[in-house]
Amino acid sequence: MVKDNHISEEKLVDYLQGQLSESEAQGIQRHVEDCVKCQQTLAFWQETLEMDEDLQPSAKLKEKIDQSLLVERSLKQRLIKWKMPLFGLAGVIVIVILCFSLTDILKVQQTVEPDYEVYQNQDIMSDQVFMNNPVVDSQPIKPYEDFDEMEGMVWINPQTQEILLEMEGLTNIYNNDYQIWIIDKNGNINGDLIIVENGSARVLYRVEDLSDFRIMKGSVEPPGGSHRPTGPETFYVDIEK
Amino acid sequence: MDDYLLLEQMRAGNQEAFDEFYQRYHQYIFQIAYKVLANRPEAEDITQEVFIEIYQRSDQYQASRGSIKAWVAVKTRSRAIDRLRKKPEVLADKLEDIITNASPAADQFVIEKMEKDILRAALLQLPLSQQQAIYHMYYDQFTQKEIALTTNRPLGSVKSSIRYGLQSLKKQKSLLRWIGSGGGDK
Repeated sequence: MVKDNHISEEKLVDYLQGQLSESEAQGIQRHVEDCVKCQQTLAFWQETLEMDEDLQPSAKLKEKIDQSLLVERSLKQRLIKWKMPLFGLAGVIVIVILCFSLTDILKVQQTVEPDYEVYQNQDIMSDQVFMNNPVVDSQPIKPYEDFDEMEGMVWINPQTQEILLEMEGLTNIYNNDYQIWIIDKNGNINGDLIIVENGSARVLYRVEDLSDFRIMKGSVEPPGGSHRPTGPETFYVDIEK
Repeated sequence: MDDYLLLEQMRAGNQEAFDEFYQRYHQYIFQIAYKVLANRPEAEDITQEVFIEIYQRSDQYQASRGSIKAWVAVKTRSRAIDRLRKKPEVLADKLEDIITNASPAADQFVIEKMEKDILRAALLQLPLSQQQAIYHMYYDQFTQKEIALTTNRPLGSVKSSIRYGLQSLKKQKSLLRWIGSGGGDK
């Protein structure tokens, strides 16, 4: 409930909406009395949750959302339809590659489905396993010249197969997004948008096998991100070390 | 049916569960987004973004952090504040709205979430008197009357400074664009 000695916003919202037990609510009351930051956050939610019966989104909004979801679903289905026959084809290609020793082809960078999970900021629940753990390796991220305001650390936990990045100094970039890339030993590259909050971001990767991955890097991309890095690079981390 | 079951069914791709979830939360999400952004089309856009994210990433919900209603509220707040950071013209509208708005604590919270350099970069483009008036209003939380007293200027001229200052901020959408939007494969 308490993060960095402050009460999470979710708990404050539940408190205001009467969703907590009496003892939890009393604990929050006691904390808020002495904590200016939580008082401000509580005041924000108090005003923000005052509902106005007449204020509604337009009736067409649901239609628009359904339309977007429909497009997403049909894209996914199309992908699955393509993938099924491709499995057979892939088998043949693998045999051909093995026969002709064309392993170099695999070194070409390509976008593949990720075999990892990504969590960001408040969704990261397991960062405690990185703290004071002797098996965890840490190193600072290396920002590129144009982004020297950026600083951060990377922690690699071989026990849990997790990589945690903390970045600060992510200046606001109008009409662009920060994106993070993870590159495996075969040169396959996958990107995720970085959710920046107050100039900082925390990203946790949970991978299947750490030894499959080689480097991570950041870049600036058009809004919504790109399929592969196109913009100026922001930082670099060698995770093989 | 409780929210958690609805979320479970949405995860399984159940359209009716999504319809019910929409019914329960569309006004709630929209109003939170509107409170932060003070801009109806942007608030609708954030509402759409939040619903799609919830539908696709319902597995992000962690019961230990609070109820689904609280999760939805915080997610909406977070997306709306991100939008203000990314769109200076929406931020300028929001600043203008604050003068007449009756939610001072909510506005103060939103302004504090903005990186100071975004606000400062916009302010620096204005004449000094306008900069001072707006700075006093946001950072020192002075009323227009207090600004007039502190700066020894007539109230009408302080009001004009703020109004012209904010209008100029709105015109300077591109000033904060420190990286062009060219390139990319999207």
